[in-house]
Amino acid sequence: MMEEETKEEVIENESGELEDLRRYIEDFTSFLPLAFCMVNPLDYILDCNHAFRDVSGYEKMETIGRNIDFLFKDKDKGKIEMFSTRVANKDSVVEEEVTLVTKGKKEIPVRISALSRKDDEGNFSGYFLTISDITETKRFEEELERKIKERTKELQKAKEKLEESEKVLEVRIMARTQELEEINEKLEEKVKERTREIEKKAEELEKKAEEMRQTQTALLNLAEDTDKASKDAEKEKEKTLAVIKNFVDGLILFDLNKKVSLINPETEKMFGIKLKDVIGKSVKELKSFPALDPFVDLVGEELKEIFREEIATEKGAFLEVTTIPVKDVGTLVNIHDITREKGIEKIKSEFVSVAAHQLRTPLSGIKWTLQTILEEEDSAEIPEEIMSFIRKAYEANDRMVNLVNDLLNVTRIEEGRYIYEPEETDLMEIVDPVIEAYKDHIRKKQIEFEVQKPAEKLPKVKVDREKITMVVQNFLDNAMKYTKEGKIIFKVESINGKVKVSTTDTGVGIPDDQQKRMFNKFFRAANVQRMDTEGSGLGLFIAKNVVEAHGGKVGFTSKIGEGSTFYFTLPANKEEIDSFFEAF
Amino acid sequence: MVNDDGKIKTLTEDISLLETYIQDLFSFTPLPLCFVNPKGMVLEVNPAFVKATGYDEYDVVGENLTLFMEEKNAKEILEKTIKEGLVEREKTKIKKKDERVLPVTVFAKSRKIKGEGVNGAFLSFFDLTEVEEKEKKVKESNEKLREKVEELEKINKLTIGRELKMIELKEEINKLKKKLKRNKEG
Repeated sequence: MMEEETKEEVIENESGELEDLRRYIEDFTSFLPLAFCMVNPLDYILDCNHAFRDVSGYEKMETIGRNIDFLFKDKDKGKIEMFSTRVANKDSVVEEEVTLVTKGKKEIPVRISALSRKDDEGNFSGYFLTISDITETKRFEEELERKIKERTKELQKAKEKLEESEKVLEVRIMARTQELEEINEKLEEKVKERTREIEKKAEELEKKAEEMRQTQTALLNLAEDTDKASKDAEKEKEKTLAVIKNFVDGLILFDLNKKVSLINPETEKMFGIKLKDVIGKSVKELKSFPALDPFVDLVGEELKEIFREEIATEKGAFLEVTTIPVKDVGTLVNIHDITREKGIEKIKSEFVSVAAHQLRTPLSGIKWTLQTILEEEDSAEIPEEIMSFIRKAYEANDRMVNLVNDLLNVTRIEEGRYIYEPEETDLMEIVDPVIEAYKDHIRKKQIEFEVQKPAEKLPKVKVDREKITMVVQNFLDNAMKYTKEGKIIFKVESINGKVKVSTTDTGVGIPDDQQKRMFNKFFRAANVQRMDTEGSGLGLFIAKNVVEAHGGKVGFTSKIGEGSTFYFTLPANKEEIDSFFEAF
Repeated sequence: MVNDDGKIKTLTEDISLLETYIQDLFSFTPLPLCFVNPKGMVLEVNPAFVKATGYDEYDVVGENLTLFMEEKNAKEILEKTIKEGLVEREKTKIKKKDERVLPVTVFAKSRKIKGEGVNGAFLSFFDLTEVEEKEKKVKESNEKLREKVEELEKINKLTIGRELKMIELKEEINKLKKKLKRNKEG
């Protein structure tokens, strides 16, 4: 009984459990948001859920017992057949995408998944099939595809535009490229040309570089030479300094700014000064040294050019000063002490003076005696030969008297004792008698004599009549003596406040190399020495000194073989005359 | 007439078949599924769930939904399911075992037992990763296309635009030259 009850209970329990399981399956399948159906091995649908109905539109009863392929599009039927075969032969999930045709004939893209089921003996007993609506996914994919197509289209358009641009650009680039090629060709040509120029320049530069190297070598040699020369110059300088130091004459060197840059020991001795005291001083500043007064007065602030001019120092010495301008250096002053020469000259002059005086008396006596004999009425009794000797003796004596007179004059000039009596005179009063005296002598020599006097009256001059007469005589005497033929012009004129007297002859002229010495004492030009052996060479010396003692000047122009013009001028301006004589 | 033993045997076989059926169905369903009790405790998960979340069955069974869902979301969805019987297309996120987040839509249905009321709920999760990725890809693709178009437009503007500008400028110069000539003549 107990056993009977238990069986009933078991049956009840198991029936309940079975019911639960069915309900669970029902709940589960109805819950499943996925379309689901159970298919038997022959592809007939055994069961399906709500989601299946939602997707396909078929009610459960319209589906169960029908072959699964009725759900799909005809073209997919083959696919379904293959799908079910694959499911039957596979233990894992099989998937496929097909198109479902709903009850309302709507086509829905779906993904079907299936898993085979086996019975206890492992035989294929059917399969579960799920259908997923992939409309959204498909739509999404289609949308995506559409968008991509749109974008692609846009892109294509843009690409086309770009291609158009590229074409335009290409054309332009080609044109530009052609231009550039042409430019390039031109440039290349220019570059070649330039290269050629550069090469040429390079060659020139190389040549120049070579020249530079040579020059450098030459400069190096020169530098060596210069160094040597510098050393030599240094030695020379030392030598020069030694010479200057030991030079017997005084030397003062003024620089280009006329400031003392050097004096030698002899100068220090001459003036009693020291180098350190005078160095760098100007001529004006040297005035502060009393011993240098005569020197400063002579050369002046401008350091005028002087040749052998004398000064007397406060110590009684006589110095002969010569200024020598030295290019780029300055001015060199040479001071030669002539005190001794002066002394000798003085002694000589005194001797000449004494001798001349001593000679003059007997010579005058002889002259008087000979003149008496020649003028004696009874002289006819004296044989002519003797008379000739006496005349020659008289003439010789006369020349001797003249010579002695000249010597005395020179002595007086040199001693500064050539004192005369200046008086205001019309020069013509002096000149006219001399002209008259010489006129006949000149004409006797067959020489034309022309006298040119001023049309207007001459301004008065202040002169020693005797001495100026002597000068005029000297000029005419020389012109007559050294002119063999031709003409002598004697001219008196007034020029710029001066009276000028000149003689122009067509005589022998004076050699160029001797002209400078014409007014020197005892000088006679070589050509006149040959013509006349009687001249003393003192006439022009005396004339020069006489004229200069009147504030005038003497000069001449001469050409050998053509003649000479000697002239002298005298101041005729009263102020100038007074100024000169006051100073004198 | 079938005796009791025969009945029992048949019932036992049917039960076994249904259990296998349920098991097979549960396992086959390609949708990640779980069955929870009214408190949210996970009682069962299918292989699709294991595959999608990375959790093994023994990781989640016996655990609360909050293991892989945000507490607030899990609570709301469960309450709504129990109350309304059904929840469809509720967007949420589940946290995978590797901590990565999976965007999903949830379908849930309560299960009632006769005389006992609600004894649990089925929850299924549609993975939105692929959809979102696709959306993202579309967005990126659109962005790239837009950039490309902009770039092309820019190039176009620079080339054609420049040419046009040059033409405009030349026309302007010609106008100015004419004006200058007129001014000189005038």
